[in-house]
This record gives sequence, structure tokens and C-alpha cells, in this order.
Amino acid sequence: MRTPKLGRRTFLRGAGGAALALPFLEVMLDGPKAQALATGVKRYVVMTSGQSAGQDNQATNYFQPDTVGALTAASLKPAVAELSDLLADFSIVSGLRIPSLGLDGYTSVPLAGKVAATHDKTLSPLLAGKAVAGDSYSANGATSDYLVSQMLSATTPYKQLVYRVQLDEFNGHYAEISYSAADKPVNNSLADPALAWQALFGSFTPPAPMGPSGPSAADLALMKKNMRRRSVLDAILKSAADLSGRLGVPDRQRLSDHLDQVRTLEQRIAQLSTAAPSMASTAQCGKPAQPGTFVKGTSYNDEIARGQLLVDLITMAFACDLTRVASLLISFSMPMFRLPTHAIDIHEESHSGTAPDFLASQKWHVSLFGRLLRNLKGLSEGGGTVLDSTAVVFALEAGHGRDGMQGPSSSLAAHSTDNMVMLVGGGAGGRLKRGQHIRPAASGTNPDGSAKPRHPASVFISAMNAVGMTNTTLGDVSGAVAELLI
Amino acid sequence: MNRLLVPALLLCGCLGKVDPTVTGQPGDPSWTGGPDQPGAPSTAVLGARRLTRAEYVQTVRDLVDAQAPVTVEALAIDEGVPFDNDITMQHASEVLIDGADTIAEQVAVWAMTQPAVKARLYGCTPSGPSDATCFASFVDRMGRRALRRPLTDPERQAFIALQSESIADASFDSGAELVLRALLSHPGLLFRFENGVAKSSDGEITLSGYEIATRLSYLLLGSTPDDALLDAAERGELVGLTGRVAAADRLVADPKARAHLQRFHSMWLGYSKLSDTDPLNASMRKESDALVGYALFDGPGDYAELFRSDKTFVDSALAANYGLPAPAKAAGDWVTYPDPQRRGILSHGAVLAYGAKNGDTSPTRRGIYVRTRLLCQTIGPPPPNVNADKGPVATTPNACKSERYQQHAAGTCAGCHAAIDPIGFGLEQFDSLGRFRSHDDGRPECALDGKGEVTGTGTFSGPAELGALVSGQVAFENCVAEKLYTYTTGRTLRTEDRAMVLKLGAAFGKDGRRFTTLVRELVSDYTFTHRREDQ
Repeated sequence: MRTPKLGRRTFLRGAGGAALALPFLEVMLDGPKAQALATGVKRYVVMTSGQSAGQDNQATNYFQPDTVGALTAASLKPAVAELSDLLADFSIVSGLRIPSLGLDGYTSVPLAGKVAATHDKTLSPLLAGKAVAGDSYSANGATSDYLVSQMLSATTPYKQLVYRVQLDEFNGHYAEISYSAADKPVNNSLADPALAWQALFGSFTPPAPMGPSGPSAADLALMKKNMRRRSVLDAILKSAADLSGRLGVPDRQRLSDHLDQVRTLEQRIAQLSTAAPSMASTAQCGKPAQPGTFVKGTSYNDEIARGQLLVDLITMAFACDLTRVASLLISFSMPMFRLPTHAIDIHEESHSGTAPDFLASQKWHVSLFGRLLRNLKGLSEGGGTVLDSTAVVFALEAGHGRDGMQGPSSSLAAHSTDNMVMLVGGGAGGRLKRGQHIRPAASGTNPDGSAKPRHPASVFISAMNAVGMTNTTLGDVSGAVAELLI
Repeated sequence: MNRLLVPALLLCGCLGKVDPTVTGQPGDPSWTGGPDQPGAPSTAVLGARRLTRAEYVQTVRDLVDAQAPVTVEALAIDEGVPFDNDITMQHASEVLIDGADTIAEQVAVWAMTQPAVKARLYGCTPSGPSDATCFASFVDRMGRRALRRPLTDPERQAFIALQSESIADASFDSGAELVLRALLSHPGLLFRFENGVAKSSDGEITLSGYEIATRLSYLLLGSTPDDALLDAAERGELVGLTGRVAAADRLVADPKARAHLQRFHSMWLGYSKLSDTDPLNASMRKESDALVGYALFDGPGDYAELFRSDKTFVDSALAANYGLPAPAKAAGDWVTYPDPQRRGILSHGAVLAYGAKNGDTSPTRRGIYVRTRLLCQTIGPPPPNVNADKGPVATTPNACKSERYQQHAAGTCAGCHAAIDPIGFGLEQFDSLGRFRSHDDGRPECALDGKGEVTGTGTFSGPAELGALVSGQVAFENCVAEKLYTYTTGRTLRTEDRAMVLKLGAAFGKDGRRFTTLVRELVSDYTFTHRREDQ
């Protein structure tokens, strides 16, 4: 594999007159290998659902077991009943709360809190541990997946994957859950499995693709394609350098941010085309079949198939060590799309849908969590599985509680962030407690003197710690959930 | 999402406005801003905007070929707030770059298989893979079109270096394909940089002719300047008033301007986001697009036709939905309303669907729509302890909708809702599909009287009267100007932009509300050829 590559590069140097810079190629050849050997590889996934754990005016919470302690098949509530084969692989954390203005004695928006009964202000405290800024919908700080990716994915071609299942263009501003800083999405989330495949595997040569006779015609064609692509990016970077010199400061910064991403892309293609397997790449690494194109439909855009394919792509990206971090937005903060056979959209089901439809939507979300856990369990690594080394956090946008404050329905409103539930899967290298229903003890008091339930961002802190981070805070939230950690 | 400059006043005086030091609204008697004394417009603070998804797709097609295969799904969706070109929403993104490169590759590879397209792009016939003259001329020609200005020498060299691929592969096309591909995903194409030709001591930048061409073309066509416009820029014709207005007139007459301005209206008036769950929605969009085309281009010229036209373009399914006479052509034709209550775009299903949930209308959301979209007023958010996601809940069994909404008339709710809900109730006889109804859905005992009021302006009943009431306001004329100027700047307007809005609105109103007048006033203003840097 190396011979034609080197030949090609030599040629470009000769023909182009000046040497065309192909940065990092040599560095990338052996870098990941050493890194993987040095540390136990861990992985991290965040999945989000725009639903609540229960419905308007219904006393039933479809996630939370009746008692704390070891999970049993019988203890699983209907939304998670299908996870009964994974009892030893995940835990349920319940009783979490994002504090709200107007409740518990808060007379202003609490730190890492929100105004009551507004689901569009929940994403930021939930995922970044920060209250939103002004009218913004986006996270007001870095999210856990981004922070973790800086450590775990330092050497992989992708820092992290940012995928979303729901295509729906109706409410674009809810389409991102991964942020590197306040109001700065890590990337545009990819909802099309064909594009996600193209980015991951379009340039990727799995380890040892060659027979004894050397690279196949297809291998050579792919290498040539990658080289051409890099020539294009190189011409762009060279010519843009001249442009940059002529810009004022703010526009130069914009261009610089853009070019940073071009460079990332160029380096990734270089890395993907080296065919040097990372030691963290598992035996099951291979190039999956390219998904077909999804055509934009009506309200439902094949989200069921999209979700499965995206979960499978995350799995294979882990198997090949293309990245160690992923986020998957399953449904938006206001999921205005309809599953097949359902009468109304998922968001409305929380309010006025039939209980069976609402439950079916929840089960669909959970099925993707289950699929990922089963997939990762099927990847062997060392003496165990990739799931053993991974932390998967599944967060619901809302709990089932008392924020409604509208007369008789106040104690059971759909968008309340009281009594929130999260699922945490995987072992994170033996650091996460599995097979438990945990209801963490309250910590501190609210202004009105009541006990303060733990914030859901604490669960993210726990998962971050489990994969090796030493942070004690996420945004304005402090402290891991000790009960979840070993 | 930047609404910092628009203070939202809750409770007493719910309607905010652009400048908190000015009382009243343009057109109101209490207005102290004074449309006749707007002051000199100030040069807008603008940064380099990225092309929107729609602009990029159109640009690639215009640069290469209308038939070029463009996978639009490869690019991220631009959020509409309501316009899709808000610079504050644009973030650097690898997915965007990957997507643009994917499209650029597909299109470049395709172009090389199309002899006619290729010949047009090259502009010369290569004598062989190493024909340096033809390669350089192609780089200059395509570079100028793609980056909307002549290439600099370092840029030329970077692209010309790609001829090494032609020589290696013994194919002129091989390197040319890479040049095309690099240009189609180049930041100089993706972003609208305005470096200008001069910068004053206080930081005001004078745009180059090419940059003016780019502003004109994306404003009026949503796409890249054509060769004629670039040539006019090269000749220096766009810097002067006459040449610039002539160029704008030419672009407005281009069929692409119609489609683009229809799209502008669909974003402004909200129906670009109309979900496509119902097959009727496509017919509704077509109906509203047709009326926009009529009001702007084909009708008597008064923009108010958009709100008072007595005819509408419907296909047979949509006519049946509304209960209108069948059109002469089943696929769609103009039909005159038999019912005097129906006039203009406020009678359209595409607009009447706004804010509907679960198949029923929301008088509150419709009222907010009229205040914010048509009169450019600002409505403060609901208080934090209100779940605005749901309408008012019935407190008595079998309450009619109007009785439920009485809750909004009481206590602290009344301050805002008194200015909002009565507008919506004046449209209640038209459901979320634009069908007439005389009572709440499925509740014959809950009669709807259809009476409404725009508080402080007048009473009305139904879309025709509301359209006449609103479009007769100076505030409405200023609002049209404000929306167009917002789209032109690609960001939320600021206090210092108000003078320009008022200048445009006044010119628009004085000349019989011709949209072309608005456009001419905009492009002929000093501010159209200048900018200030953002921070």
C-alpha cells in the first residue's frame, strides 16, 4: 500500500514544480498505534430524546422503576422493557431536576436552570450545565461530548461524530446537541446515512485490504480519488492564504475558522488513506455497505431506518477506531414529526396523544439506545467487548413533574424538568455501575429550604469521569453522581 | 436570534419597537421618530456572509449548467429566522465543507462528461494536456465567474499548478476538473467578502464594482452575478447611480428574480416552513407564489394587491378545499372570489395555517403573526409561569373556544393579549386550511361571529377587511421596507439601521407602493455601496 502512495507523492513534487505540501501524512502513519497501546481506550456517546418521561395529566412514568436497586426484567417500565436482555449493561438514574424560576423559591433563573414550562430552554442546562443566554435555543457552553472528544479522540481521524435522526426542517434551531462553546455547534449534524457513510468510509481503506498480490484496482482507484481530493483542498488552502491577507480582522477570523475545518478535512483524508490500522481497531472493522439515498418525504422521513443506520455507523466507526466519541440527536427538542401509523407528531403526543402512541414513540427512541448497546457488545476487544469500555448516556429532554403551573394539570405537565430520568449504558472500563436503578440523594437546599434534587448534568459529569476526565463541573453544575461510579 | 435591540415590554405596553427612545410606531400618531425626518441613513455594519444552501445550489447551477446534478441534501439546513441568510446563525462547519466538496466533485466530474458544457466553461480548445495557455485562460475565466472578481496572481498560480494532474493523466480535463472543483467549494465563492477599494479614516469601506455586482445579484436573483453584470462591474458602471439602477432593473426583469422574490416572501410570510404533511400544501404554496408574482410583476403595480386581490390561483383540489368555483384548468388557474370576505394572501391556506396546532387555529398566534410579520411590531414573550405551548384550558365543561380565550382577557394576561387575540378572532371563521366555518369545529353550538380588531387601528371581519386595514398603514409600508432591508443585510436590524428603513418605507409609500421603487431606492442609496466592519 505504501509504495504507490509514496510514488504518487514523489510525482506530485516533481510535476508541480514546488512541493505540494501533504502535511501530517508521515506523522499519522504510526501515531495512533502508540497512543492506543499506551492507554486503555475508552469511548463516549450521548443520545437525546425530545420527549418527556410521562404524558400530560398522566400519573404514569414510563421509565422509572418503582424501587431503587438492582434492575430486573419485572422492574422495567414499558418504555425500557425491551432492554431486558441488557439488564447487566445499563443503569437508570431518576429523580433528577433542572431547577426553574418560580419554583422552589427561585426568583430569578437559577444557575444551570431555566424558566418553568419551556422545553426550548432545557437543552442548554441539560447538556452544558448552563442556563440559556437570552432568547437563544442553543447550548450556552461546551457539551460533555465535545469536552470528552478533546481527550479521547486526540489521535483518531474524527474528533467526534455528530449525527441526528430526525430530519424535519420545521424547527432547525433545535438541530444541534453538540457544542464546543456557547452558541458554537461542533458541526452541522448529519441526518443522512449516505452522507455519513461517505464521510466516514468514502476515503477509508480498512486495514489489510489487499490480497497477496498487492492493492486491488478498487484500492488504487480509491487512493487516486483521495489524492485528487487532497490536491483540491491544497489548492483551496494555498489560494485562500492570499485572500486572508487582504481581509479585515473580523472577516479574516471567519475565513480562518473555515480554513481550520478545511485543514481538518484534509488531514483526515490523509489519515484515512494510510491504511495503517490503529491498535484500537477491532477485528470486526470493515467497510459497511453504502446506504442508499434517503429522499425527503413528508413529515416522516424514514427516521426508523435512518436511526438504525446511524447507530450502525457509530458502531463501525468505533470498531475501526475512526473516532471514540459520538452524539446522536434522536428527536428535536420539539419533535414535530410523526412516526408511521401515528395520528399526530411526537411532540403533541406528550400533550394530547393516545398513551399507546406516546409509549410507542418512547420505545422507538429507547430501541436505538438498545441497538447501540447490543452492537457494541458484539464487538470483542481484549478480553471483553467495546461496550465494556464505553459510556453511553441517553437523556430525555423532560421529566414528569410539576412545572406546568396551569391549574389542575400542574403536577403532571409534559415539559417539566422535575423528576427527570437518564439511561447510562456500558462500563467505561469498569468505572460505571451497571444493572441498577439509582435515585441519587439530594444535595444542598433550594431557596425555599427544600432539598435540592441532583441536576441531570451531574450524570454527564459522572460519565465523563468514568471515561477518564477529571472534571468536577459541567458548566455551572458541580459534582458527579457518586452512586453511579465504581 | 439576536433580539437584543428589540426590548420586549411585558404587561403594560406589550408591543416593543426598534428604538426604545422612540415612542409609538411608524404611522401611529404617537410616533416620535417621524418618517419625514428620518435623518441620513447610516452605513450598515456587515461581515462576510456565507451563501445559504439555496444560494449555493443556484450559484453552482448558474456557473456550470442548469442540468448539473446538485445533491442539495449534502448541505446543512439554514435556519430561517425568518430569513435563511442570518450571519449570526452561520458557524464554521466541517460538514458544510465536506458537503460543498461533495457537490463540487459531482458537478465537476459531470461537467467533464458533457462536451457542450465543457466547451463553454473552458472558452478555448486545448491542444493537449500541457496546453498552458488554454489552461490559464480557463483558470482566469472560471475564476472570475466563481469568485465574482478577477483572480489575484497567487490565486492563479495555485489553480494553474493543478495542470500537473492533466499532464500526469495525459488529459487536459483531469486538471481542469480539479480547478472547477476547487473553485466551486472555494471560500471566496462560499463567502461574500467585501474588501472594498478604499477605507476611510473612520473605517467606512467603499465597495468595488464587483462587490456591488454581487450584492445586486444575491439580493435580486439569489445567485451569482452573470457575465454581463461582471462586465458592467469591470467597466465601472455599477459604481455610478445610473448604471447601478439600470443593472437592477435588468435583474428584476430576469425570470429568476420572480422565483427568488417569491422565496423571499415565503420566508417572510412564514409559509416556507409549511410542513408538507398534507398534499394540499404544495397547492397552497403555489397559490401564494402566484399571488406574489402578480403583486410584484404582473398586476397593476400596487404592492397592496398582495392583500386585496379579488382573484387567486388555485388548482381544482385547492378550489374544492376552499369551496371556490373550479378553475378553468384543473392544474391551476386564476379564479375570482365570489365571497367578498376573501381577498389577498390572508385568505390563503398557506398563511391561515400559520400557528395551527392539531388541526385547529390559534387566534393568539395569528394575532402575533399580523403584529410581527406585517406591522413589524415586537411582542414580548409570555411570562415564565405560562405554558405557551398549550392554548387556554377549559375551566368549565363544554366551554367554547372563545370562552376559553376569555382567560386571556383577565388579569395580567390582558395587557398583551388584548392587542393580539382580537386579531386572531377576526380570522376565526377561516380554519387552518382556509375553509370557511361558522362555528367551532364539530361544535355547532359554538357560533363564530368573525369579528376582530387591530387594537388602536380599527375593527374588521375576515381576511379581506384585515388585509385592507393592515396594508393601508404607514407601519405596513415601513414593515415591507424593514423586511427587505433585513434580508439585504443578512442580520437583525439595529437601531442605527432605522433611518434607512424609514427612507425606504417613505419612498415606497409615496410612489404607490411599487416593489420596484423599493428596490431602486435601496440599490441607489449611498449605503448600498458601502459597509462598516463588524466586531
